[in-house]
Amino acid sequence: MTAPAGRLTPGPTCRVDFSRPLAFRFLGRPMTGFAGDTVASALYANGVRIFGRSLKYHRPRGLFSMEGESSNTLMEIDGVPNECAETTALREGVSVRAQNVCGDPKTDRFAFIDALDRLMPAGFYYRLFHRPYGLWPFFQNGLRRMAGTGVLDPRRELEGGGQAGGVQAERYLNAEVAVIGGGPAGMAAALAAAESGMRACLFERRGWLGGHLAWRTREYEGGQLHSRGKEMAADLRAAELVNVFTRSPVTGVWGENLVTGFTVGGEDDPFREYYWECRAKVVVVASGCIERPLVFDDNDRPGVMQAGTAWRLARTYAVMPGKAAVVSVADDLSLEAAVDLADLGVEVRVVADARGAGRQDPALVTALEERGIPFLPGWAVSRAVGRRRVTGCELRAVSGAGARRLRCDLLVANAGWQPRIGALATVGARLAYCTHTHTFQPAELPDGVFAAGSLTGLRDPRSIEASGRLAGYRAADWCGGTAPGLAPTRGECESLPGPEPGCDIRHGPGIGRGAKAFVDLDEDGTYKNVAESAAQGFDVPELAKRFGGFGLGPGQYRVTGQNLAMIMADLRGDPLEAAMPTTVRPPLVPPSLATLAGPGHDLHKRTPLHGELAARGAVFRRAGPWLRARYFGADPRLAPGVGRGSVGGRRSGRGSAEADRGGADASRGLREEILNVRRNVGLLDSSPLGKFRIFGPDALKALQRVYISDIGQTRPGRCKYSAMCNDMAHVLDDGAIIQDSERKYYFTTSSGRAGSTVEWFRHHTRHDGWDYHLVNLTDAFGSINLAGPNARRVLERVTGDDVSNEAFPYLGCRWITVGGVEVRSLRLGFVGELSYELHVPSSYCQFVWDLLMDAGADLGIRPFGLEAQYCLRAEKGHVIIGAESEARVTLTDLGMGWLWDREDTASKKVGAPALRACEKQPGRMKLVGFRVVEGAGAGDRGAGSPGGGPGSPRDGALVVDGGEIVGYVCTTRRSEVLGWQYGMALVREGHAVRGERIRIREDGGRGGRATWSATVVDPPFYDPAGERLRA
Amino acid sequence: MKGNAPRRSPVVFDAVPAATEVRDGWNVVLRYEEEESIGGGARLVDLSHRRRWDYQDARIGARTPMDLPVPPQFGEVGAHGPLVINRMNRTQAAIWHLGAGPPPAIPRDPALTETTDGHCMLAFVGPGVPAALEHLTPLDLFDPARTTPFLTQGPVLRVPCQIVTFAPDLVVMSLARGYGETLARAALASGGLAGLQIAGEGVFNRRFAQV
Repeated sequence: MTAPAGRLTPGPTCRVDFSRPLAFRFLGRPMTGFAGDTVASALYANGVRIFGRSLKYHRPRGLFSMEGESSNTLMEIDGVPNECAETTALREGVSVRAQNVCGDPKTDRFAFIDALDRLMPAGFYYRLFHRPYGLWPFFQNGLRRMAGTGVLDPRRELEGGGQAGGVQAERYLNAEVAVIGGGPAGMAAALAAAESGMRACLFERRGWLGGHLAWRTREYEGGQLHSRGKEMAADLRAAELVNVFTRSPVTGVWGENLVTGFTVGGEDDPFREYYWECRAKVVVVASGCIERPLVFDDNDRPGVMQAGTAWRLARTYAVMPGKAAVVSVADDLSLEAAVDLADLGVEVRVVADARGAGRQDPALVTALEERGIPFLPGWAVSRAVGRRRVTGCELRAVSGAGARRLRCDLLVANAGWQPRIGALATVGARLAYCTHTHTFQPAELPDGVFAAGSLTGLRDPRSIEASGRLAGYRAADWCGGTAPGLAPTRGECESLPGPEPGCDIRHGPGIGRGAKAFVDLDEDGTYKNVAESAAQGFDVPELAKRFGGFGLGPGQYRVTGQNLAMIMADLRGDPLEAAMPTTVRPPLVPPSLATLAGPGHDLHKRTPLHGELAARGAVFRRAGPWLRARYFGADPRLAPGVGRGSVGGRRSGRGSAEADRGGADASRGLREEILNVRRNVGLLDSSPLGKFRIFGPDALKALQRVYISDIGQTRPGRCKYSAMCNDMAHVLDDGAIIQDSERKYYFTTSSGRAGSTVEWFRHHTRHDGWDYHLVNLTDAFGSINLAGPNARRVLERVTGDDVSNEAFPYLGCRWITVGGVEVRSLRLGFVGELSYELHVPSSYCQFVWDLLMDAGADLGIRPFGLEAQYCLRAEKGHVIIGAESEARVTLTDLGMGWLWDREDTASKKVGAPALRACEKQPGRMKLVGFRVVEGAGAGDRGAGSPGGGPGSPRDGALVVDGGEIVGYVCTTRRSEVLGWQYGMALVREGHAVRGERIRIREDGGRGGRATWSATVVDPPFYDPAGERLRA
Repeated sequence: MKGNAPRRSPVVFDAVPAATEVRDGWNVVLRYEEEESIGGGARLVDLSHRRRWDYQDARIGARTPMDLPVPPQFGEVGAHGPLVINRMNRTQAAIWHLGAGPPPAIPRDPALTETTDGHCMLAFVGPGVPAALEHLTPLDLFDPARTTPFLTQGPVLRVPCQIVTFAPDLVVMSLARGYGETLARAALASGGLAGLQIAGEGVFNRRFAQV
């Protein structure tokens, strides 16, 4: 394929498709890249050398690495800040902006700060600008504003903004072996594990497999190295038990070998990023190496880059990294890069190698000689020349003698290679400095973790591949599989070259103060700053890291870590063996916040009537796992004076006329729901009510244990109302128990307790060995509450069964047939009216509901919601557990002591001992009813609102006696039927006396303090004789 | 009369049925129009109309509910023609009717409780099932060390489920009916990344017949 202008002729390792041009903009200027480019490679190909400005000094920064190892190329891409241009694939139409820039990146207006480095020594943020202390907020805010790198718009993220839209997702992987790294060692490990019958997941951060083989063209066993990489990748793709994930950086390895990371979507993927986690038995870390930057003066100038960066620009992206290059490196791979760059047309003016003569691969030295490239063993770069970009450099002998100055537009520099230790560090490996490889090596690995490849110091491709294979077999063996290749591979590894000696150069020769010799590019941490930290006592890497900010930037350990440890050891006069790396923390590579947040599915339960209620205008609210209809039509929270506890929110703060009108409508709608039940007939979807079947020889024993009443009195055809207490006699639940036949019962619980009822029974009978069984039928039966004086007339129209008061009295339970469907009907009266609770098989619920609605159409039947039910039952004085009860009150405190079977001690009823102990205890809180008689809202104002008028007390208001708090209001409403404000309150015993005057007080809020006077009255407030529900 | 009363599944797909059949009051979709135009990836099938029973007995190992031997170990599944019995724990098993045709006559056994209306049942069918389920659950549903069919109990999209793996391309799960609608929608959204699409019962019937 022909290369476009400015690009190299693509070779076999090129990843760019020149047949697919992509238009994009940088700072508004139109540019062209190609499919396969990253944003950084495309910018570089378009002549961009300054990608942004540094954090502290605002120095120009360019392309330094290709794997996001520093913040040099963090850019704003399509409005999303801090995107790594080195690893972000170019897409059509993206807009790219430089970060940390005031004006143009070339002429940044804050560039003058570079000259003020003396004002910003190590730790200046903690020491300067604090006196007088009152000025610190001013400086702090200013510094933070200057250091800011963009604003994240959360809406944009959630909408799938950034480079591509799409859904958020999670993925959970299971494998015996997780392999981190898709280079030759990782691929060999995965293949060996799969060959041994193990499932393997391989994670590679790049978009392709092969690691360093992917761009190397050196001869290897009759072919070229990149061909070997492709061959292995093909084998891997064909392996049935191997799951390969590219563009999938690992963010960390956690306990029990949980590997986490994320996958970046490609051009055709429906997602931008998704989070994944892989639970594996064994982890093979083959994450390879990165270059160790060489620390020398002005080593951050645009045009100074790592050997791999220049090499990959040319080989992977067909971009000429520069015209005239000086190379200062310290390993053979970088020498190979120099030779290859020369072959690709870069004028390599000199190659310096910090290692002394004779330590290089002779073939590479010969190759340099053949190309006429001067080679300087024992030399290294000491200074870069140029302001906005490199124009030359100074080389010195490592010993310090001699110097040479050369002109160049590309300075390729490193101090050798260092292992990518992030995954090892997060999994808990102990790392120690190796004086042979001059890198941190795993000295101790946790169980089930193996390291392989160049990470371990190997450089020979055959050794790297064999080490991966060995790790794969060892992983399979660890998992208990058969690994026949284990012994032969171990022998093979022993016969191959081992780890190669590394270079211990700490910094460029003649570094001096090193005021602009950067150890940390992200935080502008220099050699001078390291020395300042050490001089002030922060002389171990972990302390210097905090004091000087080394390694705290996005690159974390990668650029800074090993150099910081080596330089600090040097400054302390310690041997390198004593050097310790700083802690590497996850995420090793940062995913977007939206990726971490995940898809956010709203998983909730819906009743069988959800669609029907929605169609009728129901407003739903979460209640535990369920979505329930709170009311129909307008939002009654807008109604003036609705109680705080009524719909789970405060009164609306809206004061506009529109809000007032909406509030009035809402209040009217809710009032109509209530009145329709009181005067006519209504339908409530109470399906989340807990419903259980219990059977077995010991079923009654279990019921007697858990319920506070004598369940033995239960007879078929009758409902027994009772409550469950905990060991402290607090009421947890209440419901109806029905005996179906001998040893078979059916009972209901509150909706909130349905999910824990089975465990509650099991827990309280765990030592008895009783033979009984529970089936949770909550979801199996929908529940329709037909309530109101006309309820019987409606029911009679849909069933042939006798539902008269004589045949089906209050607290009766019958099986009736409705439209051919057998329905368990319970005659209860929670809302204080003639009521039938119909338990209908869920799949028939809609059918039965429709029959009832049709039958009651001429009677004005209409659905009512939970809020109406709340008000109706409160008028009747019926307690809702949690609304009128709390952890300080017992069954007897609530006035429900009549449920307690005091005579039964044999059943060991849960809560009975505590009830006995505190039954006569003085000073307890008691539940009382009250009627508001004086104060704002006690009269006509707000009449008609179920929650009371403006100025009425609300749920939670205090009950006071003088200045002392003696209780609080649990529920209070203004009753349309009664015409007055009623409520229930928990008060100290001395105030729980019928006829007692109590003071109710509300503090704060817009109205300031308000007080009311109320009289203690006995509930029920409505129909105290219970004639209506027995009608 | 009851047979004529219409029954509703907890799951409603946003798709146009191409072939339906009324069975015991359920309007069963055999095929959707969309099935014609999509490829051969993973399919999500609503089987909520299939009958299910809960069986509990203190001596369950010695019992043969509906003439089915109860698998001796927790997590084991017995496939007996149209019926499948899953051993859940020390005292409990679940019986599912998955085969074509009407379910067998049910004996009057107090230990049996019909739970058809209490659950939503979904089947995942097709070659992309493992990849689709990886987006929904951390459970290892395809552990090669286990012999199919096998039962796994745990969360799918954080909802407690019973899941039977028949083969890498056939997984059936049962969950509380109330969660059916929202779980199915979430499954299609997340599983959609792996190509999960809806299908009628026919797709499941054809595959299950091969089990």
